[in-house]
Amino acid sequence: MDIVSAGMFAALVLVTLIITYMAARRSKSAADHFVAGGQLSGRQNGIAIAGDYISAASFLGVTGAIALAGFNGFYLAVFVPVAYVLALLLVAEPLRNLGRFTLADVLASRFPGRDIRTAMALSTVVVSTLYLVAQFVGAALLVTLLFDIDYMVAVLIIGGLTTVYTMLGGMLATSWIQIVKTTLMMVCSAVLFVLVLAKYNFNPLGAFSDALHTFGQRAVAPTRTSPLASFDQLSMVVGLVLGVLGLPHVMIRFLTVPNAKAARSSAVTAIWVFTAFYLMIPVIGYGAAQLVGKAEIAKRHPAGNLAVAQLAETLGGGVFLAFVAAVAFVTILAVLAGLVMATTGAIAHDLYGQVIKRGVATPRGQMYAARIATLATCGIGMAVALAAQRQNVAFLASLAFAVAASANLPALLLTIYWRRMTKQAVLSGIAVGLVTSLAIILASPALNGPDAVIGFSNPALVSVPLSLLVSVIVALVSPARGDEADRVRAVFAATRLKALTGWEAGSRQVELPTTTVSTGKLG
Amino acid sequence: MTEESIDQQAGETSPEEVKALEDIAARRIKLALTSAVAVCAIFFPLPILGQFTGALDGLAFGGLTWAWVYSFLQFAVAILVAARYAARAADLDTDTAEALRKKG
Repeated sequence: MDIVSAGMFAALVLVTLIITYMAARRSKSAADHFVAGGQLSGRQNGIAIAGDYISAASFLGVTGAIALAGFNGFYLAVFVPVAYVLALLLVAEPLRNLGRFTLADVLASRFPGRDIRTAMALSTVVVSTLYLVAQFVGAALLVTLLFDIDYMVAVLIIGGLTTVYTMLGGMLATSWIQIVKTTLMMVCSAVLFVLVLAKYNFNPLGAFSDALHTFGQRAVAPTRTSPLASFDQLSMVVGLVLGVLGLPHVMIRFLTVPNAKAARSSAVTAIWVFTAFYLMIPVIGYGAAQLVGKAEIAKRHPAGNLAVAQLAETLGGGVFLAFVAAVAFVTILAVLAGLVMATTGAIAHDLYGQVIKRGVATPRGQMYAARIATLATCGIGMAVALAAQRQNVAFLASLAFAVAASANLPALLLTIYWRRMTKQAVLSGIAVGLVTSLAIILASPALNGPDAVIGFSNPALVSVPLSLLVSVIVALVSPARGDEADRVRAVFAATRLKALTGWEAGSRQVELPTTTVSTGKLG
Repeated sequence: MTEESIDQQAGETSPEEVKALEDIAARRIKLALTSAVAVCAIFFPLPILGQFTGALDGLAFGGLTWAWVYSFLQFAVAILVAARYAARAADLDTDTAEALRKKG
């Protein structure tokens, strides 16, 4: 690592630690720790959502994939605004109106009891841990390449900083680190975009034409190899779109705002940020293929993960490379912090506070549990990252999306919207979604190579419909009867009204359109 | 929410008020579901046509294939649907506040 890179790296780490220190001073309660006191504004949360979602895999990986694979690489980006529009339409406001700290709170608002909460908390832990491990290993490898440091040192730095942010600063620090990260990443991408455009006389289509003429039509058109590979690709896209709506670390961000109106504004802001960001990526990707060269990109990293860094060095020299590397590092930390918060919320609030302590845990006990859960989550992430340095664990990320789409999404949507949904159906859907996703991936080529029992790796196209079907069938064959049916109907009516209007029986706590939203400022 | 709490609170709520809120909830569901179906109907042909047919392989203009044009369309659709939903949902918020104000 040279002196410029070290300086930028140190400066950004210092900024994140100052944010953490200020957040730690403000963080007094469990609500502050888990959901930033629910006091972020819609705009702030929207930018944080973008920071939570856009991982190094998006920032670096999608660009590299377009540089090397052409159009097919864009499948990893084009679904994002669509997924967040679906989140805005179907889950953002109900989540804010029904939830407190976790996704399990939403289910528990209609189906109180320890079994449902345990199932959703376990599903949250599984999804977040799978995603966390994939991010941890990928991040450590990336940091090793970007900063030319030892793998173990990279793991220790990433794990140590993530632990400090989440344990001391909680969701408030995590949110502001994500906001800073999004801002830096947008600046970084915009500079790269303009520098590439300058090479094409500021014609936004110049990079596409150039790619067409240099590499042929295959570089700008969808590519297909076999029907099974196409099925796998479609399954991945379905899993990604629907998975976003069930990803706990993304969805709990809607709990950090004061009301449904701010949740809506969060999603709209995030969609604008995603649109601005992902529309720049194809130009940057094709620019990298032209200006750096496909062979040179593939030589540094076979999946093209260093294409952005190589392009930055080509266009802006060592200083710009150092800036891109530092931004990529903060990107990694911001996403990991969000994942750790989702995992610790499920463990400390759901499993410890509601299941083990049956809802009577003291705030101090819950915070103590959160700190232990944070240490354990980061410790497991670091241990797996150290053990799996030479393993390909990238498939775990798409598995996390598929599990989220299969186990969490049907449970959430049917609980909020379907009158006939039952507790048994929720449990069945979560179990089937979880088991089917894991079984398919265990038998897939991603783990077993060409000799795998099944020919595709992404389970979503099978596991999501199956989970939905099982949920519906179980609900239809085991309806409540007699007095119980009346009670269930009343609970659904109340839950539905609260989810969709914010109005709760016996209260008048519906925000008026003129309500002023306070902001979650630091310090 | 428990059965007890619902029973206790039911007495504080007028049937007209609940009816008005249920109407608003039904309108919100209709708006969300129709918008979601429209978004899915526009989006999912992209991977289906792109992966199983050559319909999007042809050149449209300026180095862009129809696949790129269709992909960029998704972003415009997302922005438009989000803006339309946000505006309509704000109207529903006003209706909700109005329904409670009338009775409250």
